[in-house]
Amino acid sequence: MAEEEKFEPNIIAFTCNWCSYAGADLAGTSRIQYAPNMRLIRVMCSGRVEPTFMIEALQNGADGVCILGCHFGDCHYISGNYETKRRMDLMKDLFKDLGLDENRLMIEWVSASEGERFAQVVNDFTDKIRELGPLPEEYQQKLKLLKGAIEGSRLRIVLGSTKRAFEEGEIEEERYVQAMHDIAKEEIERMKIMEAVDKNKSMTVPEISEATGIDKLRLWRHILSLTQKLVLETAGEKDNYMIYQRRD
Amino acid sequence: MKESSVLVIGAGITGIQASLDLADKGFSVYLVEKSPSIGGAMAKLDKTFPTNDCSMCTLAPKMVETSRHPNIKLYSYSEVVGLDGKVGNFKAKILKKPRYVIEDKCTGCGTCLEKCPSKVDSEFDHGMGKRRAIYIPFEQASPLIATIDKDKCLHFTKGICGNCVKFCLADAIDFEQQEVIEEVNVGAVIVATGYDVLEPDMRTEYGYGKYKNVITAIQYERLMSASGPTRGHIKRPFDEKEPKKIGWIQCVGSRSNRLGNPYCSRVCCMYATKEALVTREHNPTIEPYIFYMDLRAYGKEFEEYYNKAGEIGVNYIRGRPAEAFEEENGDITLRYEDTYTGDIKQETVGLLVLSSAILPAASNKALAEVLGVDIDENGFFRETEIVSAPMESSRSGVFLAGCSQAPKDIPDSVAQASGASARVMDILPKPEIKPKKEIEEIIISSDDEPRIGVFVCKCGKNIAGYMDVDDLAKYSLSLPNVEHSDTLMFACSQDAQLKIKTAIKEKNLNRVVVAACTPRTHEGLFQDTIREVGINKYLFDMANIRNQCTWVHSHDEVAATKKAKELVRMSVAKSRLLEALGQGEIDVEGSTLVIGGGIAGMNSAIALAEAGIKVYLVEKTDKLGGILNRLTTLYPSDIDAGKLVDETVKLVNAQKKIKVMLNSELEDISGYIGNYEVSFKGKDKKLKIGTIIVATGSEEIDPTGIYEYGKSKKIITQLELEEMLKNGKLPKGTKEILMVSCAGSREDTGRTYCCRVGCGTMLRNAKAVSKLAPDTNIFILFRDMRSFGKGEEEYYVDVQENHGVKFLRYEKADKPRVTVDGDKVTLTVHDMLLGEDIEFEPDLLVLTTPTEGHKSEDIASMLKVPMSKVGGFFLEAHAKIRPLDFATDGVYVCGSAHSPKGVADTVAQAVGAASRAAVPIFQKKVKGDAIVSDVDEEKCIGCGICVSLCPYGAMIIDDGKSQSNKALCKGCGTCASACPQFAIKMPHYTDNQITEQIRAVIDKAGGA
Repeated sequence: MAEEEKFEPNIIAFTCNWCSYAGADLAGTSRIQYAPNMRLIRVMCSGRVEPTFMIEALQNGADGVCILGCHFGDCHYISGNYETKRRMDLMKDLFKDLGLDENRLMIEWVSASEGERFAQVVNDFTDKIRELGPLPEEYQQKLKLLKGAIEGSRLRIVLGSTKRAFEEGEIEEERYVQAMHDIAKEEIERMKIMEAVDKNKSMTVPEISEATGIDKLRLWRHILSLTQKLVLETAGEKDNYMIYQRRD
Repeated sequence: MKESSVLVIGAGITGIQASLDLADKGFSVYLVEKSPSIGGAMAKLDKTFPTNDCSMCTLAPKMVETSRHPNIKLYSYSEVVGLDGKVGNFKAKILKKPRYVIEDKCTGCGTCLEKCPSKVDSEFDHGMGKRRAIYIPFEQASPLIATIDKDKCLHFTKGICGNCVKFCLADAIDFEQQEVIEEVNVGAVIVATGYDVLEPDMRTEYGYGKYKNVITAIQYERLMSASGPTRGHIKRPFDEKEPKKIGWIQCVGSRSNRLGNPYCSRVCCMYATKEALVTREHNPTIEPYIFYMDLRAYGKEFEEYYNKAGEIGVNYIRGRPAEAFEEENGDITLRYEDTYTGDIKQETVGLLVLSSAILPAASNKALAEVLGVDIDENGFFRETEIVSAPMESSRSGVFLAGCSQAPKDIPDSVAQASGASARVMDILPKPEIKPKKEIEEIIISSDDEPRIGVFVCKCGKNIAGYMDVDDLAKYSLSLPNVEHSDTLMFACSQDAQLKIKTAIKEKNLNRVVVAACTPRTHEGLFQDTIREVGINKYLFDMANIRNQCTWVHSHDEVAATKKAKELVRMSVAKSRLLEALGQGEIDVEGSTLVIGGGIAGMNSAIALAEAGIKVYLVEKTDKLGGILNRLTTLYPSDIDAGKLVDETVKLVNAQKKIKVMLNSELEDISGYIGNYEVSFKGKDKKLKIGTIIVATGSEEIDPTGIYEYGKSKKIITQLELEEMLKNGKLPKGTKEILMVSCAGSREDTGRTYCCRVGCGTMLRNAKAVSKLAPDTNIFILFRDMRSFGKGEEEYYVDVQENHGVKFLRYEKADKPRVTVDGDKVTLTVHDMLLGEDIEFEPDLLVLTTPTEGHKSEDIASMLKVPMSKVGGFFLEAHAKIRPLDFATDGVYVCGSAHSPKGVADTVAQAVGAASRAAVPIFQKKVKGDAIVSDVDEEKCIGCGICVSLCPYGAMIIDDGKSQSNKALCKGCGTCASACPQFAIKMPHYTDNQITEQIRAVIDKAGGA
């Protein structure tokens, strides 16, 4: 390439059938022009958007991902958009934790009558991602960790139980979100541990700590849990420390 | 032999609803619409009150359903010119006006519209925008066919031009077309002709037609509409600038014998409120002013909407401007009398909107003659009795619905449309449900190698004009598993369907992708097409390369072509994994449970029984008739309430199909549409039920404490007064009676709603008192006189003029004060005009208290249906277009259980609910949805997250595992993406299918 080409971002958007996809159609019938960078994937409800879809998108060439759904109160399925909002909130928090720019994720509400707003949303997000530039290569490793965490049943159970916990009123929303966040962090750390162990076949706790940057005490608790879950097993000793490896 | 077919005249929302209700039951419907498209007035509206829903978004799906229904034959741009015969055997003559466009050939591509040189005012935009001489009235028109306006077309007027012929690729223009008269046999007729809007040029004092910045509310609606002539920007006609202040004048042409029409137009207070509220929300710097006489916010959640408008800065001024004049800069100055103070004031606005009257359709008179039915003194069709028979016209077999009978809002029109269709189902023979002739499906398993055909639509020039379609077709063929690709001029046209089917057969295709417009309007069409050659309809996908590509990137052919390739690649990637899905069928029990034996429940029961449906009518007390048993007469026709109850009970008892269950209370309801199981307290026997109508009504509140009620026997409620009137005796020495409106309703908190019937009750009882004891002094203290229904404004005027009743207004902020001192009751109220307090010492102080829903939470939870926020009323599926349905299939609501209402509206709703509840029973089977959750029991750990997230109660835990009830699932997929075990599959939107779509967006090989 002789000249550096102007960066044009790839953006994937998940849209619900009833509001935002319809809004996009209306932008069309109204002939409102907007940036050609966004590809829509239609689902029946924004509540269908699996958190892993967002990571999958970034792993497959997207520079930004967004979810577009119905405004609160307008959801064709009553409450699906609340659920997707919760997931997006968590994803953004975890992005921050991992040092990823959470601005590459977006959630917006566009009704079936908001053609103009749809175009605006596309343009604004495209501009933002264009400014942020292409998705840095170093994102991929962290995305992999995040995907592992979000695919794990532990985090999914806590995330999926949010509505139930609030409705039963046994815990304040803020505390619940904080606890979920902590669990997510732990899960990401465990992904890191397993990644290190897999890479080196077998390792001791100080070695793992060295490789992952997790302090030893905290690491011990992870190792205990991972051995109990039969993910790790011991494979002898070295320098007075147990050696751990993945259990098949 | 009577015909199982019906003629519906008018295809606005009313005619559409009536047609769908009947067609869904198997009746053949001939739907005649005089204009080029169906949709009526609702299609012109921007938003609808009180939810601010987009009007087109709720209407358009019903339009598509109508145009595609196999039992509906649509005659658009046609008129009914004859009706002979009698009920059961009418012969109707339908005149098809020439469009000069061949309907079967026109694809609605719009090329001719662009090329037509002749611009004229658009009727659809009420002159705010332009159309061409060849036109499609609005973008979502159905049928999507062009029409030539002969009077404006250069070919017809000057013999020149012919651009449309030149540019029509479908060869659809035919200048020689003639009008055609067709004759159809029908058993019954429904009149749903809607209304016209007063173009108030005769009210010269407001300068309409003279001053540019004076427009009507419907014109303002077009300005607000995102798809209107200004794309939703409020630009005043004088200088296209946005006005800073906007004024609305209410009752222009209504509520005045001298200046227009005596009746109330019923919807203007709310649409003006909506227009002002939405404008203000959109731009908080605009100041809206509404000049009104009585603010009639009578319907469900209207009062709350009106309050909200006030809160966000809509100014309400009680007073009718006397005159308007134009300033040099185009502003309009209004002079009005402030009715509080009597002062003459002035206000200058940048734009003046006239809330002009709803008029009977201009065609009513001629149509009434054709149909041989009566119209009333105002020009609306005359019902046989306002309260008890609002749907019946003067001719047997001809029924009325919507604004053809009287002005109405959308939900009341829709309810009456269903009501009229129930009347038709009651008198005509039950149609045979024709088994659909379907060819056997070709079995395609996931093991079969996908063989995909890609069809690229050119959409005339709508797609082909902005991108390289041949390149796209060629590229498509290079994608894995694509065995065939082709371009089509119009993928939706008849010849294209043939091409698609031929390709499927010749190339042995097992999946089809159409790259064209949007699946939201066209998926069904192509699905039907592939099904006709035996391919399961779920083996189809659409790539939206028009609405979401060429139309929005029309200045960048390269980008549009690249995007289109990506969209097709995504579609193909998904298609490879598509699976054939089966739609299960659910048998429907042929019986309906009606909960509540008041006037609503009884009317539902009778309408169902007359259609041959078994009805269980459950009443918890020992008597049918509900609250009507306590009333004397009914507003506004003064018919005897007791007599109406007796006659209705007689009809119930005469019906063998109705089993009345008095003193019965529900214990449990389980199941789903078609298959409910119902048990009663203290009874072992369980009933099998197909559909359920909730008609539990409402009850009077406990008035204790309101205006000192309970402290003196002189302070009574309207129902207690009614008791006295029934006995024909007022307490001895009653010389003065004072009635107070809104006692316990229209509050800031708690009962925020309007009780809807209170004003009528006051008027009716005041009149009754004046007849019983003419010497009594009667005062009515009111806030807004809400006499909105047919005959009600006239009733109000009659009570004012002929019954010696005196009216006095009070404000919410300055309510009357009541004190009780021994035997003496004193009421003090501030009179704004006199500027001083007035004291009364009435012999009877009658409180007009609201009703509230019965304590029905148990019924709501048994049925899994929601309740409204206030008043203990039930919450319907959609405030506007589904007032009688719940979101849960198979359960319906009517009468005061829905919200407080008078008997006329209750009867329409009750009979309407019967129509709704009869649909699944007539169909005998309902189709289950194929896109429903599917639980993998092996993976499920029984955590119950799906159960907690499902808004429809479709998920249950049984034996430690989740189970999905396919009849209840609506297919949103929220459960699937929350399942910790990935144990729930959403067919057609599976994890794999979506992941493949994601992976296909970016072509790593760099092909596009």
